[in-house]
Order: sequence, then structure tokens, then C-alpha cells
Amino acid sequence: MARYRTGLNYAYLSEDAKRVVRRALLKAVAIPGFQVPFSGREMPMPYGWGTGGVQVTASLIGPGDVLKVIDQGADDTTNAVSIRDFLAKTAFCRVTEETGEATIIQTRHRIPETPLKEGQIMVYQVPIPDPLRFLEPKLEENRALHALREYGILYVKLYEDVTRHGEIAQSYDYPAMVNRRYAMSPSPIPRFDNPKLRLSPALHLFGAGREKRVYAVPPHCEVESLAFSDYPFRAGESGHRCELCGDGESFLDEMVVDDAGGRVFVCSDSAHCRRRRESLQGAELPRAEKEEK
Amino acid sequence: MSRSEMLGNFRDLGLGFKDPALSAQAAFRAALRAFAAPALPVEMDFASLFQAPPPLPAEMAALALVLADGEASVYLSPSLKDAGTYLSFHGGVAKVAPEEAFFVFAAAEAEAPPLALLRQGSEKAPDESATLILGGALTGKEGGVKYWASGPGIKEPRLWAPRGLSASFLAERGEIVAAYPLGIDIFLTGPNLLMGLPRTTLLERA
Repeated sequence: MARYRTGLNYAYLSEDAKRVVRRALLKAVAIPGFQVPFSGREMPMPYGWGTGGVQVTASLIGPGDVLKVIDQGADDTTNAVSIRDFLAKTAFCRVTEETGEATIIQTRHRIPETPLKEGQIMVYQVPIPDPLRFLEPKLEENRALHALREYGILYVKLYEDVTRHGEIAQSYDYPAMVNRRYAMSPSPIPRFDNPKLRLSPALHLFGAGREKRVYAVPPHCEVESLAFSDYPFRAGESGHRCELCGDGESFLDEMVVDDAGGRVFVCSDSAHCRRRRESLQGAELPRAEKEEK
Repeated sequence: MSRSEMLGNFRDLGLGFKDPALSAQAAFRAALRAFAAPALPVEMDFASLFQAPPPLPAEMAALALVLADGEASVYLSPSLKDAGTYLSFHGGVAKVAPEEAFFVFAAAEAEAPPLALLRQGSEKAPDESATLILGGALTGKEGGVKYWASGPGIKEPRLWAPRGLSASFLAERGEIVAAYPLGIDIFLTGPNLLMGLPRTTLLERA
């Protein structure tokens, strides 16, 4: 296809490869939270760099789409920059850093702070798709447990957290029940982001490249983080404010800033932080509470 | 076979997608939208995706070329049979009996095989189930019975008045999807229209 000028098929994947992913995605949307196997392809990047997410995005994207790619919330880190560049070059789509402008948002480990809208599609890069994997390594056994809706071991894990730490300590990749049927790994997003999945107006698609699985959370779908009635789910808060924009509500990264162990907290969502700084320009920032050394 | 006969056969094949990548992408996004927002018709100019009108309705031909191939087989109902050569030539699509097919194309409810015959998947692999693409279902006669549709993808229960579909067909579907996560998923199609009824959509008589 000369007019694409890359020597590659549109969006890199062959039409046969896209068809396989597309079939799997439709079944994934029809059976929320169920992991649908697909015959994944080699991508021009190593496993662990988002090969599953890229295959899902490549099967979705068209020239009219506006793509945002984030890595741990940031638009400007290596993984995000290289994937955005790859898809912009092979799929000829517009790219953006603004959550509100994007039609497809590919993400590694975060959901943006700006609330998602109807019609938007989130694509997650997933390392380990099965929430049971670290508790029961046998694939066949896991399939049976999902088939029987037997999630006792997940609760045992959370219970052990409570007995050891006095609270549920799992802070990311926190398992959730989708449409009251399948336990799902929301990929390693912080548990802070779990509530954003519940009844979200956007479509959420998860792609695991090495494990060759896709799964989905349709819009307006029940997603309940697992917990106990006496130890309810808590999203958690940092008790700090962003050093740059002063936000006390967003998810913060802790950064070491000098050799003396000095640390500051900044927003993980770089686009959210930038927009806040621009709108606050001139105004005094809410005070960032410094940690005592 | 003479040269002119051969050329005649090629002409019968018709022409496929205008752009194999972009036409397929546009059609797939319409299908994904239909499943992500069930019981809501998705409008799309499917005919514009083809260089020449295919022998079967454009919306059905688009879904067949986007989703089916040699690995995911189709069944064509009697009045769609003639499109078999078209799909084999343009999509390498394998045709099988309804109980084996992953994609079941039926021109109208009267031609659809009994739903209980179709693949429903298994407890461990509910995804290995059929998708029914049913024509004439969005523009036909209103059946008179209205339904409240609810489930994933639907924010507030949506009132839906099916056209060209009998209450007994929807009751049959209801029985099958009650075995969730097993079940079948349905695309209802009409001229330039697509509507999704994935197995999670609950229909209650209004």
C-alpha cells in the first residue's frame, strides 16, 4: 500500500492478525471480565513493553482517532513516547496529551484523573491477566476455578493481609468482580484507580501480549473491588499534595530529589498536573506539606 | 471453460472492501459500538465501504469480511447461500453447518436455525460460542411487544420495540442466555443499521 508510505500494513498488524484480535474483543465485551484467548503476534518491541495493548489498539484504530498514550500516568516517558510514535507513524492518527480530546487512550498502569466520557476507549497493557495466577500457577486449574466461580483463594489472600498487616495491603492490581461473575485483574493500576472502573461510561479493553489474552469491561458495568464487610475496600489517599500543582486529590508519585534523601510528591498524571498549573498561573499554590526529615 | 466464461464468473464475484484495512476498521468499530451499547441501533453507511455492492446486504458482508475467515467459519441461511462464493473469494471464509459455525448469518428470523442448535460455548470457554447476524430485524413490522433492555453497556433501562422479530424468538434467546456465561450473541441488522444484543442484555416485557 504505497499511499501509507511505511512499507507496512495500516497500523502494522496484518489484516489476518487484526481479525483474530477483533473476534476476541467482541466476545470479551459480550462476557465482561472473561479472559478470551487469541493467537497474538510478535510485535516490534519486547514482551513487557505493551505488546498486548498495542495489538488491541492496532486492531481498533483508524485515521479519524485521536490517541493518547500514558505510562504510569505520564505522557512523556519512554514507553509512552515510543508507542505513541509507533502508532502515529503506522496508523496516521492524531495524537494528544489531553484526556478529554482522546478517542483511544492506551495505558500502562494508570487511569487518567480527568473523568472518562461516553465513546472513549481505554486500552490497558497487561502483564499477568489472571488474578489467580500467583495463588494457583496451573492454567488449567485456573480455568476451572473461573468456570466454577470459585474465588475462595482470592479472599484467603486478602484475609492473610488483614491478619498480617491489620488491613488489606494490596495496593495495586487489586482484584475486582466484573458484572458479578468473573474475578478480574485490573492490570497493575493502583487500587486508587479501581473505583474509576465501576459504571464507567467508557469501554475498557485489556490486552496481555505474552499471555495472549484479552478481556473487557463494557461501559456502565458493575465492577466491585473484593473486600470484606468488616474490612471494606478503601481506595486510599496519600495525605500529601502535589509539589507542582498542589492537588491533594490526585494519585501522587514520590520522587527523591537530592542526595540527602529529600523527597517530594508530584502528580502521576502529567497532563492533569500541567493543566492545573496552567489554570492556576499567578495564583498561589495550595501549600505542599513537606515531610519532616 | 472458455475465457469469456471465466471472466463472467469473476464478474459474478463482485468487488470487496474499497480499502481492505480502513473499510474493515470502520466496520469493526461500528460492531464494537453496537456490543458496547446494546439495544441501540448504530447507523453507518456500510455500502460506502465496498467498491461494488456485494451480493448480500452490505452490513452483513462487512461483518463477514471483518470477522470470519478460514479459522472462524460461517453458516449462511438458504437465501444467502449465493453469497458463499463471494465470501470464499474475498475472505477465505469456510462454510459449515449451523451447529459448527462461529458466525451464523440469517436473512430473517424465519430462516434462522433454532437457537438451541447453535454453539453456546462451555463453562471453561464461553467465548467458543456462536454469533448470530440476523437481517430484516430492525426495519420489519413492529411486533407490538416492547421490552426493557438492561445490563452492561446500558446506563438506564432502555425501552425497545423490536421490529421483524417475534416474541417467541426473543423468549428462545432468553432461555439460552439464562445459562450465562454460556450463550450466543446477536447482531440485528437492517439497511445501514446494526444493533447488538450480547448475551448479557436482559430483556423484560414492558
